[in-house]
Amino acid sequence: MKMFEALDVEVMRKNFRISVDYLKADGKVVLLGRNGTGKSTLLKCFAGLLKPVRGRLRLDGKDITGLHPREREIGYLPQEPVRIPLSPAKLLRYFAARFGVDDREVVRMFGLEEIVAKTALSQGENQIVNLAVVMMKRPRLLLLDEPTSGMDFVNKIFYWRLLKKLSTPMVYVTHDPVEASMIADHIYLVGGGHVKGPYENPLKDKVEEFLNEYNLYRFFENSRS
Amino acid sequence: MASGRLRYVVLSLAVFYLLVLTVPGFLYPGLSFPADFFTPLFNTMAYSTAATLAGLPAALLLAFYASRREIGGIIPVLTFSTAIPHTAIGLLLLPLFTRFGIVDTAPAIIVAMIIVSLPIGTGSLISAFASTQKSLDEFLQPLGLNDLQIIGLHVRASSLGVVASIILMWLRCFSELGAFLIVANRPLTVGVYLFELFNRGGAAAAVLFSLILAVTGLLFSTVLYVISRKAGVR
Repeated sequence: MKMFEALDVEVMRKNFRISVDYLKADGKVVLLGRNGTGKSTLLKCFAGLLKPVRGRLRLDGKDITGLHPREREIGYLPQEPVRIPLSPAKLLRYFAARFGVDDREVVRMFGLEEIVAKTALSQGENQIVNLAVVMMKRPRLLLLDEPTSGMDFVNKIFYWRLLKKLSTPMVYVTHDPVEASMIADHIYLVGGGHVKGPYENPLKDKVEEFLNEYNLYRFFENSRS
Repeated sequence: MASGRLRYVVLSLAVFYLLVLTVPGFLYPGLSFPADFFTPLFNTMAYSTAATLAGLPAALLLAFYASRREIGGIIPVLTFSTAIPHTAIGLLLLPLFTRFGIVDTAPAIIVAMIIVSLPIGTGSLISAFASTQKSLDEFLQPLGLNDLQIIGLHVRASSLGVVASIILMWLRCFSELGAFLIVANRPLTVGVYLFELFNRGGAAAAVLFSLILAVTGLLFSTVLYVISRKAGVR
């Protein structure tokens, strides 16, 4: 079974410490907390971009604590939007060739037909393309750091729906409880230098049902034109 | 209002600076055109191009790692040479060049050019890379890209800054004199040629060539400025 575990992990960045006794991601896990509580720091540690002061990280039973980010079989989307200086079509072709996948298949799977025809992307569209790039690698774990910040509501819903279709275990960082409710199977609360949880998401599928009930996605999408 | 006046003062200073450097040259009596200024000009341009191309990969690598602060400590090691007269650099290189028998040869000029242009090129490239996102690295590393592939994408992301750095390196190579006076008087380069013209025939023999060089320098500096503006690099 695909599963990520963080066992008794403590991370230090400058004078700030964040610790987690036990975190398990075998589905969609959300780290929910206010800005500056250390969610991103923890995610960087999971990605291998920061070394933990103590603790172990396991992916599918394998200890990945000492591995370089390149060797971790993970996909990571940082908080700051990443702009790669290639057109979306070229970008997808570049990474499709690298990972031995068919870029047209990826475009179809992620519904990127409109986006790849463009030369300049909005921040939200850019994040969607980056997610497609990460998924081409077929990572065993997806680490997403507030990927929808700066997106309009239509792109957010589009993005959340994409994520819901993915079976890859993920750790998703957000400060927005609505977003957490939309995505999470389980929620961990981050604050005071500690991570508490897991908590069942009581609203799982309810937000989606609410959006469908009032046809809100269609409403927002049409209100753009 | 005051800032408007200040702007005129600054513009006047820039014009004054240009006039001080160009007009007095024409006041010399009996100015003579140098017999063959094409050879040193062509030599210097060719060697500058070779040195820039040869030094660029090293500058790119050094700048990339220094900008990520992984090897930030190397910056003083690289830049100390800008703080000493380049004749001293020539003297420091002389025993090595003598040992390899390349004194007064094109390789001596090119190696000296690489050494004097590397600090300025690296410094400029550090600024260019600093303008690209750290998050680009964080995104690309887990994707399995190696450092060279990541550097390639950073170069694309900051292409104008990289071009500005290349021009800066080239200009530094082109304007070198001090080191050449010690390690390579020949083949003739513009700095050495100018020095010899002045020694043989005084200012009247050298001023016109200086003006030619000033116009060349102004042209390249303008190109550099335009590119830097577009790249957001100062």
